[in-house]
Amino acid sequence: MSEAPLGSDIDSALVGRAQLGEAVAFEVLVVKYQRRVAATIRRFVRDDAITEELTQEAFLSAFVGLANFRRDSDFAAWLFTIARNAARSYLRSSHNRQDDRPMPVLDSAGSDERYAAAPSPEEEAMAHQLFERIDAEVAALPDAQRRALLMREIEGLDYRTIAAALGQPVNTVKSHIFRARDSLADRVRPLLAPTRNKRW
Amino acid sequence: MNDASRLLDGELTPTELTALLDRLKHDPALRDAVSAQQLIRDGLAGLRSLDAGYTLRILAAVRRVEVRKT
Repeated sequence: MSEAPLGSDIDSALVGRAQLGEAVAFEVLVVKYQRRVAATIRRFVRDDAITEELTQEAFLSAFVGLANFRRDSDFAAWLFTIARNAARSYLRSSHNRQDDRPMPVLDSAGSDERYAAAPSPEEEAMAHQLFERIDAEVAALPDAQRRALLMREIEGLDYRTIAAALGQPVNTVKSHIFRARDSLADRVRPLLAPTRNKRW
Repeated sequence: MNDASRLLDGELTPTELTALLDRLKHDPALRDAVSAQQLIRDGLAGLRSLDAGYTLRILAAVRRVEVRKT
């Protein structure tokens, strides 16, 4: 009997591998969730440098706490709770500061060496260029691929629902989405090249 | 079908996941593909504020903790 795809259990499977010491499994989870975790934290602190610091802290806490994480729990929910707690803790400690230094949440990035790893203006510009290129490439996709991709990525619909809405077989929808992603990835990868040595 | 897409969509079976994780350890091009695909997904979802080097900084910190644990 053939195995079924992991589906929504993929995170649980990755957590299980990470708990067994397979670091690459945790790295996949970082790649998958880092921007969402950062967005969660940024809503609290509204500062890019501090967001990065706290995002790193949240993933470290998750990594350290992984040994006690129950695999039947929701990893994403747990991770976002850690992220929110890190942000709240930061805000509390900022609020309670007794010295005269300006609070980093109100300060510009980079003046405190603790936050020196914040994205540089060049990196910010590169990201802006990258996402503009993605928008342009999405607009240039064949209609069937673009519609299926946007239903999946923006509306968050599953393959079956998309297939029903478009009146196409599920495998056709999967094929459209995977081809669209491949095409987009091929086209944006040259823009990532300058940071090739820095990336995962 | 594209392995990076299938990984991020949960379309892999447990056996395929094992094989893919093994490949990820040794295949920078596959890691690039996973990163690029996730970047595109995040970008389409409106999460556009972080640069590509961000992941590496998080992973470097995780690896430092990992080394201390072993």
